[in-house]
Amino acid sequence: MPKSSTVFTWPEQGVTRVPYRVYDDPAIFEREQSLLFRGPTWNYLGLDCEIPGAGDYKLNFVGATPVILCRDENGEVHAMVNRCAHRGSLLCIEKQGNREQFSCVYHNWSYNLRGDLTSVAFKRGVRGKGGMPADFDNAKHGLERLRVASFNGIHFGTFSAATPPIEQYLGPVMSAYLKRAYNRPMKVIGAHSQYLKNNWKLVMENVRDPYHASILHLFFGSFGLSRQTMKGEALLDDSGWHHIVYTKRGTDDIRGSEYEGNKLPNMKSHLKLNDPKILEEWPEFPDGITNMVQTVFPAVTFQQISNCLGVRHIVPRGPHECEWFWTLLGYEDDEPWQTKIRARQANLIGPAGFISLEDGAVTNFVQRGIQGGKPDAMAVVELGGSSIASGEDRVTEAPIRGFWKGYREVMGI
Amino acid sequence: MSTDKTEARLRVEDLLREYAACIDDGRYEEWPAMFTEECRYLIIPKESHERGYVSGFYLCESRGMLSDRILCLRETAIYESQQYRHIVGGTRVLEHTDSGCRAETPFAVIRTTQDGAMALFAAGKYVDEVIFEGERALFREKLVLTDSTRIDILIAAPL
Repeated sequence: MPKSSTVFTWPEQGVTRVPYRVYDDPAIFEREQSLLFRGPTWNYLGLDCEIPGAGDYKLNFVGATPVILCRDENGEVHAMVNRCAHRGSLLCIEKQGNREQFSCVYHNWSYNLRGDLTSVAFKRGVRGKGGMPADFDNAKHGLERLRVASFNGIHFGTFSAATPPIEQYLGPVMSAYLKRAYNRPMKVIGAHSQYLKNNWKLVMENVRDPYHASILHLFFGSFGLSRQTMKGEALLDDSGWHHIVYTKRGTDDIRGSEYEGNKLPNMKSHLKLNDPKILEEWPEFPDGITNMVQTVFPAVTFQQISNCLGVRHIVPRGPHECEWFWTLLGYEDDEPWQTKIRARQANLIGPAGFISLEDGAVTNFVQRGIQGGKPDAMAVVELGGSSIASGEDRVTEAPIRGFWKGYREVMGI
Repeated sequence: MSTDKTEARLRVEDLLREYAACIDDGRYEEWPAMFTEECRYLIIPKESHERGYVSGFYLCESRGMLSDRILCLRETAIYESQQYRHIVGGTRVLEHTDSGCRAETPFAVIRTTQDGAMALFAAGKYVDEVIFEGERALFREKLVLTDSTRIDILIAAPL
C-alpha cells in the first residue's frame, strides 16, 4: 500500500465525484477515526431494550474504538471507552450482560457504571511498601466517557463537545421518521453480523443508493416488491447528512416504463414463488410505506422492509474491511403471529437475504475493482445532477452526495 | 417394526450424508425433497437461538419455501460462484420412537471461492427432527446452529 501524503484535495467537481482513494488509503482511515468518529457526530450505540435493567450493558464500537453502553443504578444510560485507564486492556469481553461494576482482569482496577475509577489493587502497597504515589487521584483516572443522547429508545454517543443536540443534528424530517417506528418499547428478535471485505463507506453509500435497488436486487423487481415506478421519496435533511428512501407498494403502473415487457434485461417477472408466505404482511403504518431505509450519519441505518424492522450498524475494521451488525426488532406488545411474520420476512435481508445478499458481493467487487487504478481515479455520482435535495423520484444519487457532503465537512477535505 | 437407537442413528447418518452430498454437488433442486411438506429449516447463530431469538439467516416453513430459496439462488441472487464441502461429524440420537427421532450432529463447511481461496466458512451443529416413512427418512425440522454470530460476506447455498 503506497504511503499517502497528508495533503488531499477533493476533485473540483465536488460531491459528484468520489476519489477511489477514500476507500483504500490507510492515512484517510486514521483521519476518520479522529475527525469523523471522534468528531461532531452522533454515533449509534444501542437500544433501550438491549439494556433494560440497572447494570445491564452492551458492547459496541464508535469507529474502531470499543465502547460500553450501560445503565446505572438510577436508570441513567452511560457510554465509555472499553479500555482500562491503567494499561489499556479491554475492560469487558462478554458482548452483553449485567455488572455491578467493571473490573479489569489484568490488575483489578475497578470502575462504577458511570466510568469512575473506584479502586486500584494494592494502591497503598503491601505492609507499607510499594503501591501508588500518595497523590494518585482516582478521580483523574476514570474511563474516557462519551456524551449520550437518547432518542425514543435509541442511544447515540459522541466524543465531541461541539456536536449539537440530537434533535438539531437529525432535523425535523429525520426525527419524525425515527419517531414513527420507534414509538413504543421494542424487543430484539435477531442479532448477527456480516464481515465485509470492503471499506465501510461503500456500505453507507449502498444503503443510500436508490438507483441500484430495483436493478441489482432482482428479487425486488421480479416479485414487484420495489420498483422505481411506485410512489415514494428520497428525502434528505437540510444538512444532507442523513437520508430516507421509501416506497409504497401497490401504487404503480408500469405501462410505458422500462419495466414493461421486461425491457430491463435482468428483470424476471415471469418467476413465481412456490410458497408466497414469505411475502405475507400486514399494514403496520398508516402512511402506507412498505419499504424504508433511513440513515443517520455517519454509520447507522434503520430499516423497515414490510414488517421486518431493524438496525444495521457499520463498524470499520481497517481501511479494507468492516463489520455490518444487524439487530432485528419487533415490539414488546407484538402478538405471536406478528413475530412469526417478522421472522419470515427476515429472509429478505441480512447476509442470506433475498434482497441483500448481493450488497455484500457488490461492495466487495468495488473494493477489488479500484485496486491499482490511476492515483486520481474516481467514481461518478451524477444521477439526478449535482443536487443534494429531497425529491419524489428515486432515480437519483442525491442521498450519496449528501453523505459525501457530510464527510467532507467533518474531515475538512 | 421397532426401531432401536443404533438403527435410528444409521438412518439419520444416511440422510445427512445424502444431504451434504446434495448441497456439495450443487444438486440444489433435490434438496427440498429431503424435508417433509410442512417443515422448519432455520439457520441461526447458536447464541441467538439460546437467547430465544427467532430471526436468523434462512427460515423456511414448508417444502415450497425451501424450493423458493433454490429458485432465487438460481435466478435472482447475484454472487460469485462458490463451492461448499461439508464435513459431518458423529451423530448422537437424543430421542427415538418407531416413527422418528431427534438427533444432533456437528458439522463444518469449507468454502472455496472462484479465485481458489479456501476457508472454514461455518461450523456448528445440526439439531434434527427426522421422521421415518417406510424406507425413507425425512427432516421435519432442521436447526442449523452456527457457532459464530458472524458470517463471512454472504450465505448463498444452504448449510
